[in-house]
Amino acid sequence: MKRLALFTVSVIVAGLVVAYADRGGEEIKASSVKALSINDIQSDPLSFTGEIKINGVAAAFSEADETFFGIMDTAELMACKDLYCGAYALPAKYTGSSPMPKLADVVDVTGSFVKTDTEFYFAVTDFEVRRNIMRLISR
Amino acid sequence: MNIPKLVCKNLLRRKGRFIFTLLGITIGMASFVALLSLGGNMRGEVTKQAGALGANLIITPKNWCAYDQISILTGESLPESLQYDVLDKVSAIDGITAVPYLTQKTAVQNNPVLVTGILPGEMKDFKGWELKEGDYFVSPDERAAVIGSSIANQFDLGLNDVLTIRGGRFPVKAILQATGSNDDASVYLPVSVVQEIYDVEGYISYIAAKVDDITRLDSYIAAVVDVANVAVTSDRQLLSSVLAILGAVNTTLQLIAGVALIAAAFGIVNTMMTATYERRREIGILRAIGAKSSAIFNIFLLESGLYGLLGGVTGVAAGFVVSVFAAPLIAQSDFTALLKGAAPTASLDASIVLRAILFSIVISIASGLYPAWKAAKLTPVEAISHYE
Repeated sequence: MKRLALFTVSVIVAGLVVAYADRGGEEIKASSVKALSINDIQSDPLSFTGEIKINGVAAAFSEADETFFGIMDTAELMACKDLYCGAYALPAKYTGSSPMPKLADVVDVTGSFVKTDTEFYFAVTDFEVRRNIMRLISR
Repeated sequence: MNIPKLVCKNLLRRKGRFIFTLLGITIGMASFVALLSLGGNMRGEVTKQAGALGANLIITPKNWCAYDQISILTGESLPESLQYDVLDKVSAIDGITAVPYLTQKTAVQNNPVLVTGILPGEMKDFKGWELKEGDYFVSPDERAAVIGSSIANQFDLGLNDVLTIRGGRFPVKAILQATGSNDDASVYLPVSVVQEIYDVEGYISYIAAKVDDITRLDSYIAAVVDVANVAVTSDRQLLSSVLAILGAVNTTLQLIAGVALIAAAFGIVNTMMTATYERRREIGILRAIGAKSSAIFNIFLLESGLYGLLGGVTGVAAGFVVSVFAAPLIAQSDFTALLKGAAPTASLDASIVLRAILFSIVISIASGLYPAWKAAKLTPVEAISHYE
């Protein structure tokens, strides 16, 4: 019986501790997400420096250069449900050994921005496919 | 032995059964509390932001979809697709005070931050902002930044610190007093400066407007539509359309919680039915020494009510712990992805705690009604003559 009481008290204390700790997080913060969205970086990509992680949907693939693909904002695509709704697609380049993501794959891409006189793209060093949302959208 | 002691003794007579029944109601209540808390927070956040907008009318391009409407309330950047001259036309309408918003994004210390282009003087009056530190813009095209209090706290920014936005350098001129809304999480620049640095001259994202006579809202909307080819939404329409999307999320969450609770309730019914059967002799003896059937009924009902109280308390605590871990997962689901800033966060308020415990007790008592009735209707003779 003592163990049960101890367990019950532990659960309550743990809940209260977490609840109290969370109260400090009520302030609205600029961002609390681990991966950035396309919407986050679209307006001012070069303000992000070094290696960053971006979440988006593989929405277009270059026919001229197989290492290039376009990444759309996941939330925007979930709302408009159309790969051709005219939303911004971040040009991304991946030259690694893994197979390229498939159309409508939701991906977390890690890398950095590259800007030259003629080119601007996100150089992907690594990516992780989270799921495919083709069934939720139209092509 | 009085009734409360008897109830406690009966509950603890079979410790294993007591623990597993309690776990059932704890898990049911935990899922109920976790999902109710997450859903309620989403609604609360959207409603709060709608109030903080401080506008009666939102004027947007005609082709904006639900995603864009949500973005107004969640503080996301929006496309710059409304021509600036629409503001002049709307402002010229008698009884309307209009301010433009041009929302873009930049990064501060590699974190995305909203940049809002405003008409400095007009926006300060419109929102009733107060300054925490520094001096506000002195001209409508000053190349400096005023920042929300959360931005200042989060990035440890102070007066005269320099923000680099699209390659331009903008010293922090003032920090706004906290408002508790998305206003705290933005960097403000004059709209003309934002148009210039983001290459969107002549365009804004949307217009927020206040009207002098709220009872004539429809006539104001008609007047705006007459002068410009735009979509006009009242703040209430905007809120209800966003809440309608949230409603679908909440209904799903509540259905899941409901199933868990029903399973827990049947667990109590099962436990109490077994207890009724096992304790026939005890019931018979109690009846034989003068206990009324109502006393037997109350004993069993109190037992199930006590399950509800204990399960409610442990369920609330466990539910909150679950919601802390579930919130990020739910926020990443396909269903809630488009909610962005309104995506669920874990926090618990006193009303949810009290309602959940009360609900747990009510469900448990309701579950105990049939077993208690079965126990109460036993006659002393049939109860005492029962042998295994």
